[in-house]
Amino acid sequence: MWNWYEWNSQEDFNAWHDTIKAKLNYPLAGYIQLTGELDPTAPLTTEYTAVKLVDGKWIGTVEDEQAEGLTATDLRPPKRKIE
Amino acid sequence: MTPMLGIMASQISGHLTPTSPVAGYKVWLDAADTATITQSGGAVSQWTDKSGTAYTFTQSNSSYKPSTGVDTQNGKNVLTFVQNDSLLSTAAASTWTFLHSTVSTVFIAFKQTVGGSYGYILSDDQGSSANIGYIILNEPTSNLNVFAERGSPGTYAFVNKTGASTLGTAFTYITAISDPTNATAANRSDIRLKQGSAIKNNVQTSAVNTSSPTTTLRISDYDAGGNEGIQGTLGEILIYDSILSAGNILLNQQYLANKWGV
Repeated sequence: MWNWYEWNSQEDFNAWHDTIKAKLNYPLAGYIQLTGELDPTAPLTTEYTAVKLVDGKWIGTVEDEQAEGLTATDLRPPKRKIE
Repeated sequence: MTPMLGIMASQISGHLTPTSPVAGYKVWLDAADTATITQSGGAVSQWTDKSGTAYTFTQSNSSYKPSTGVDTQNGKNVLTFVQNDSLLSTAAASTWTFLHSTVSTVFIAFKQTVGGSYGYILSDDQGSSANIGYIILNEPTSNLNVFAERGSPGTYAFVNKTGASTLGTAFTYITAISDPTNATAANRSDIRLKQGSAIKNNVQTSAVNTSSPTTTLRISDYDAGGNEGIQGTLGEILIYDSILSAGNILLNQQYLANKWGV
């Protein structure tokens, strides 16, 4: 389950993100669902997550099992009104 | 010869349910065909269309990936989206110019399970009338919306809204027909819910912008981390760069209804 967490700075996020990607062996290959075979044509998964600056905090989604030590947040990206 | 004659007889009598879409599609994305889905741990990194061009829609960030192998509809695999999830066409943005500037017929089989929030389904303009492009989205007050935006805030080639509470939260399919240069405003956009009557609420008459859309075509969330994608499941998308005949529209609707059990 992906939930929202916050960092105090872009640098804090970058350091955490580099660590989690190394732990999870990024970049990740993709496999054809039907056969389970490696799909050499598909792009590698290069990023675990990303952040946006909202109310002075850098927020992004993280899987609960990877979120040890992170601070959960109620902040969300601002809603857009369709124009 | 007998089976062929049997099929022909069924077609003539109107009892044969189509088992594939009408030919001529530019894009055919089919989540039930798991040979077209590339994933890792159930997270989708690529969905490949079944047209001759084989357009690919990809995602390289784990936090934005829809899931596969989690939900089914009528016993068939569907992709599951939460609001941050999206898949992006790898084709140039110009590939999709026809959606906002010439003619198109789009069919989508999907389910929006959470009401009361924006749910972009297809878009290529980052959800802003200051940009150029095409949008299909579900939103709280006016329900299903289709826009052709022209890079001029507040004016559109068309904006067609179905009205409140028409879509619901069950799996369904829609048809969106666009003719943004039509001299009659109401004929610029036509939305049909399942096999219902045409909804033609556009009153905009502005000229189209024939430039490329602001971004390439996106499925679900309008921008990276926008958090306004659909919350639900997606089974199939068919895109034609033409307006199908009434008979062929009905054939595709029957195909989707039968396949997805709605």
